[in-house]
Amino acid sequence: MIQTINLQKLFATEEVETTALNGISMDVKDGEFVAIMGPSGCGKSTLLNILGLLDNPTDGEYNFYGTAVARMTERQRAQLRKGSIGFVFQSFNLIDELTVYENVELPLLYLKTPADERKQRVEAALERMAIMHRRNHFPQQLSGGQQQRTAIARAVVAKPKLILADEPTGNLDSKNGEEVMKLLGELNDEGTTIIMVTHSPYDAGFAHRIVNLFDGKVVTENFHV
Amino acid sequence: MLRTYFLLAWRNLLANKLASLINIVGLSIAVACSITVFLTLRNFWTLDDFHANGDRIYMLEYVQKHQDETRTFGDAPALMANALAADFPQVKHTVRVERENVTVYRNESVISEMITYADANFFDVFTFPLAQGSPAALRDPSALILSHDMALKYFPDQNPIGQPFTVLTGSREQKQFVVRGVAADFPDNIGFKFALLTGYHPVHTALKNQDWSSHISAVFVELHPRANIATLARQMKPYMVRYNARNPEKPIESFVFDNLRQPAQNAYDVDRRPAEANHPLISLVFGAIALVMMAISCVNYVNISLGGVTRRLKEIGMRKVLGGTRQQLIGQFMIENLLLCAFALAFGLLITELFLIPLFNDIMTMTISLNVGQNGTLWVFLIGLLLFTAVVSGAYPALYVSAFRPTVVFAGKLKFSDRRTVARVLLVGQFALAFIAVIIGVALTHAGKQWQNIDWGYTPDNALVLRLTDSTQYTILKNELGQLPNVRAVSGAQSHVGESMNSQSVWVGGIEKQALVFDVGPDYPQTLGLQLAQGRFFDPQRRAENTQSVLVNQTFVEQHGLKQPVVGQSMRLDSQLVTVAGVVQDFKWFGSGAERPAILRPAPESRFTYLIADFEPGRGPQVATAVTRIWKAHVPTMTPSWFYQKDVFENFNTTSRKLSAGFGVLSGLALLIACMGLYGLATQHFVRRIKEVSVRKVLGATVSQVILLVNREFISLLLVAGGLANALCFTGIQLLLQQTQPFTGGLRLGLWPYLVANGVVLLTAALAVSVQSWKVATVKLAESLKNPD
Repeated sequence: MIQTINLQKLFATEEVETTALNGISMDVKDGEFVAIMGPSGCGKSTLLNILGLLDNPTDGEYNFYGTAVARMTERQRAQLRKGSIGFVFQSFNLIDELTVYENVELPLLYLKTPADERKQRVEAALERMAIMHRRNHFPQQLSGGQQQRTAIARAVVAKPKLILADEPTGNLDSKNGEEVMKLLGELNDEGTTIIMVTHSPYDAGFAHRIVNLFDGKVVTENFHV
Repeated sequence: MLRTYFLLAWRNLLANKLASLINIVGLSIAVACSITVFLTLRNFWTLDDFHANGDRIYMLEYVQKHQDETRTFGDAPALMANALAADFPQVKHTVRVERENVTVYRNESVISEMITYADANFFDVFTFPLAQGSPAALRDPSALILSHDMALKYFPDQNPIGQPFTVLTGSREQKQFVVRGVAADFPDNIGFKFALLTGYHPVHTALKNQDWSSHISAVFVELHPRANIATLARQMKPYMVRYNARNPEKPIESFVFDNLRQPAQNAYDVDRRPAEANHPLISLVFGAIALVMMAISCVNYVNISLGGVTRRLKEIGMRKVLGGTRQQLIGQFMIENLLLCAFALAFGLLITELFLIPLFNDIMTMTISLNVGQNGTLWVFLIGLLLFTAVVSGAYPALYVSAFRPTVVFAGKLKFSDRRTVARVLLVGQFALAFIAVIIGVALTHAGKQWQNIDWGYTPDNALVLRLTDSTQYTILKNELGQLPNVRAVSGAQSHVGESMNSQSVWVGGIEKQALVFDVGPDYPQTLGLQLAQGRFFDPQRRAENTQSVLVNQTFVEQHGLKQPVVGQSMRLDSQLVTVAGVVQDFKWFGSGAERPAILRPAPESRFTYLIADFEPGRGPQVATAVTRIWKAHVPTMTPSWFYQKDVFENFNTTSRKLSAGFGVLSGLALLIACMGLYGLATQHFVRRIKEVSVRKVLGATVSQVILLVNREFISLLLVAGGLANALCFTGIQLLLQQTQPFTGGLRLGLWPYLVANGVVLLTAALAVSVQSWKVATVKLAESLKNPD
């Protein structure tokens, strides 16, 4: 269960101060699928980074499954992040030097999962994402859709409680985009909490709830039933 | 436009302070090396070209056959000078030049100098302007002309003209000169020079009774303008015949003339050539050093520049979008480069002047200096060097960067090539050199310490040694010194432990062996404090018996396999049969503590050149004052020259310290350059991997895992370099120690210097990449993974 209270994020250079988040309070329940929408520069990605423990808020509270994390150090956040959050990015962020299989295996290596279990779980994830046949290919040899499926396989292989997706269909054509959204929907149906930033109302339609941001504030929340 | 370029270039240098600084420092070191090499090579190539008549001045040389080998010699039969002058109208002048090693006693030190005897027309032939005095001084056999350096050395604060100058010649003859002239400072490109110059006059012992078998250092011939040397050379036969009739055992094959300004091809190979000539290989080696340094620096520069380019991708893209042509971009980058290289040049000049020139002049016999003001060729070279550096180091980054396509840049799809094999090989090379330099530096320091701490075999703390200048002094001084309350014993020696000895053959049981022979007074061993291992010392009362006795050291017994009992055994030394009276424990006779078979043999007082006083502990200064006083009373014309025995190896230790310090500087430089290379490559490498690192961190990689990951390549390159260097050094040093065992003694380096040296290099390398590694490892994920909106 995720809860934020009055999150603030300021970006300050020597001369200018920019407020990216201005008092965001929101709850995300276990098993929920939340879409965050809003125009460019409204703070969507900043919010997602904080929720994903990649960044700290300047002020406010953040409760991550019962742990207050807003003042944690980078090292503590990294420890907490490991295995409990999966990330899906717009630009996939696969490692070019590693094969599909190795990319998916990476989180388990860092979790020090035993070899046989690792193999089993990687293969299961690849099967699940229908990318098993390209397991020995390098990312550059795949289509955008295949790359994003690999990225999703990598995000789920450690069985995280939460998946954060930042414009997951932004670099894909509509057919591949649809496919990726269906996969995310299925994962959510199986119980994984998903928070997704998107520009696309269609993609947002997959979510239970849409949070609209404007100038760093939550302006509206729409619920789907 | 040009003004904008310069302004932009300046701003960019300031914006990337660290990278600019590293680039400037790296290039300036290379520039400094190149300038030093240029100065050296220019001296090599223009040796002695400042003599106005240089094209008409020749050295007379001769060719001899020695066991099937033909060799050319630069010394000459003395009588050839007058013969040539008398017989050939085309000869304008001949100058005889003879040199002799003399000793100058000054305060605490004994200085070895070279005196040059030259004919009175010396200054007509050679262009050596005098700062003081007149060339006519050469007609006066008691007049001395000093070189500029000698005048500074001996008369730093006073006018040397009219000052007395005493030297002790090789035949131990004391000569009084008066300084009558001082030469102007010699140009750097001097090959034929003098320190102390006096007339070629038969009153000097070295020049007495010259005939057709007497050789002197040089005979110079100056021809009249338009006279042909080849014609002269063809008419040398009668002189050869005359010479060979007198010297049938060493006949001359031919006489040759070698020009002072344009030396013969083989000039470097001429034995005893009076003017320096350099082996062409030296030019090649020096040139190669400069080129390699420049190449390394330029490659480092290119790497660092390319690493910095990513910061400016947007700028480059925008310039192109706004209509900038590729030529304009190249122009901009080249001007930035030129500015940076100009700074490097200025810095390089500073490094040359402050570090390299003093270091070079300290190590080499040749002198170089940076007289920018009076030196046209140097200016041409510097401007050429600036352009060369700017183009070589800047062309690649400029061309590379200016070729980027804006759409690719903006889409963030630009990929940097990772195949920089040349850069990697160079990095390994640079680090191998750095490892080698540091290992040698540490080994030298270690050796110096070990040598200093070696057991002397006796206690040198209470001995004062006085150098004697003639044979009558010993008895008088000994009697007076013996009266002093603080002096326990006085003895004398012809050769003194730590200062002088002879290496001689000795026949033991009919077999020839080598040994160091010290000719000493009968009570010398006790006075110095040598320890007896067997038998007895000399008995000062039994002179007749002493002349047939010797003492040997333990190494002599061991190395020459003397059987027990050693005392009483006979051997032949200088065709005289001597008996071993006793065996002394090994004593330190050389700075490195090398052990060699040694013999102490009694010598008569009349041959003593050293007086050794053993004083009460702590009374050294009082004894020294007394020694000076007594000396002055008897030898008022000369300053006494004395030292404490504990300081006898000070020269050796100073040399060893200087060598260590020199290598310290060298290894520092090598390490600095290597680390710059590493920094450059790392900058590029890390920039390229930032995204991957971010992804890995999101997936759970720790800081240490990331640091290891991004540095893995460098670690293996460093290990290759280190492995190579350590293997090379270990074998090289081992071989060297074997070869020089008689001098380096029982020096054992062990593993310690290697461990320290490797630690230093690896630690410095780690420091060089530490800041960047840390930056990469702690990269802000929120920023690095930002979507390219």
